[in-house]
Amino acid sequence: MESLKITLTAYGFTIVFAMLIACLIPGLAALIKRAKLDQDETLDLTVPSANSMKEDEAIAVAIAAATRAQQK
Amino acid sequence: MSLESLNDIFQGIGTLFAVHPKFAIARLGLIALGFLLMYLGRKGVLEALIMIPMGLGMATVNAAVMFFDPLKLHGGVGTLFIEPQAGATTDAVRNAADLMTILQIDWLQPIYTFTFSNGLIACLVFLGIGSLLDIGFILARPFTSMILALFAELGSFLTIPVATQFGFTMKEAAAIAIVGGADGPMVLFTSLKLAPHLFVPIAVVAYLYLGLTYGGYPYLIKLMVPKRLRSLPMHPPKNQVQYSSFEKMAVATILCVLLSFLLPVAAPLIFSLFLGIVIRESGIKAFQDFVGGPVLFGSTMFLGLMLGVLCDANTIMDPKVLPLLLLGCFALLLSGVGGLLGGYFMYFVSGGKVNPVVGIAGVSCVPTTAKVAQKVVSKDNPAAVIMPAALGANISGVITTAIIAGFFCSLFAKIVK
Repeated sequence: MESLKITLTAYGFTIVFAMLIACLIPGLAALIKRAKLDQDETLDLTVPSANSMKEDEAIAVAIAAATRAQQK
Repeated sequence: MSLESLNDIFQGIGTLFAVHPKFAIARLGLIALGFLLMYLGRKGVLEALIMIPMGLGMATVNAAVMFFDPLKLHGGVGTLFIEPQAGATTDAVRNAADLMTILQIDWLQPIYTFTFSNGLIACLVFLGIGSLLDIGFILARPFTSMILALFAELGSFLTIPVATQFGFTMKEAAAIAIVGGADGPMVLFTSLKLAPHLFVPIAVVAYLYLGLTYGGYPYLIKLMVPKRLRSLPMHPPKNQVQYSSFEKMAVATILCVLLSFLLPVAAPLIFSLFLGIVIRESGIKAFQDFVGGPVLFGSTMFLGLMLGVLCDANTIMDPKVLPLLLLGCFALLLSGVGGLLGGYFMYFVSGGKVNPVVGIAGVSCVPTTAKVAQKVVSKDNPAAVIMPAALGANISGVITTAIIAGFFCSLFAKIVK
């Protein structure tokens, strides 16, 4: 009898808890949707970003130009 | 050459005659069972990923018994595979010495000690499973998914009073009952926390049955749901909002932190699952490939292998294993029945828009039960697609089982008995 009581209490807690999470999920999703987190372009995080690549390219061109000027 | 020297050369056969006949019969029976599990896994009747390494491990470990028992635990016979009882005495100094001895002898002992018995392998499997889960399915139907999962936890609760009638303590009963959640990693974790002395038989029973759900649940569905309802198509919810992977990642991150706040006991598993989900949505392809490939399949293979080699005759012949076999079966059956009742409940509440079969996916054996549900429905109506709803219920099942594991570990840990 005691074990049944504890079991049913635990089931009751689980139901309340799970339903709270079920309420929370759409609310959370709506909040995140409103925050518009993904307005920026999608980046591939495993390669250098487009910006840094452009910068690297510009530096490389500048160094090459400076070296050529020095040689002349 | 005498019979004794032949026994020494062919020790696998010789040990059959050196122990009580019931152990010899059990060994031969387990070798046959190992072959059967491999066959059924290969035919697709049972889950091949677990059953093939498990069956081979089970058959081999029961064949490779020799006159060798360094810790003097099994009457002079043993194997070079694994010794789960090493370090299980009350003497800490002896435990350390025993464990060190066995780690240097048994080839699978390092994997058992450092990944299986501390729950790491359960977390790695969860990490891999997380990388397969699309949280968008639960975002589409949060209430339906959660209600189905709650119904499908019936076995996790109602098995406790039944197990106490078999003479198990409350902690042991809770550790056995969580088998009804059908979530392997969660079973490993809870039994380690509440009943470490029953960890090996509970883990073996749980995974054996989780494999069997693949073959058994279709019959339960056909028994409880008529063909007319089984072939009911399900349509996506009206005004369904589409979420980007960035948004899904943000939801998963907040849910992970929140659930860990509320249930620190289950935090390692919750973290592992949500880390998998976050990696899936992160856009880091190298991580996705690693977690969804080598981590998931490597840990699943070693898990199956561990379970197989733990099925030696000494473990299976333990008098506590038979009631565990019955209770594990009872818990999973009850959860399946509960899930289908949940399916009926949602069918009536939604005015006939939910296929009752989707309820079986509330039993959180990801993604097996969702696949079972779709397979059964497709047989009756090839045009009916219930997989998205089934996966939503499946993911919710993982969350509810984590909640229950957290409750059990917190509530029952305080009970002395």
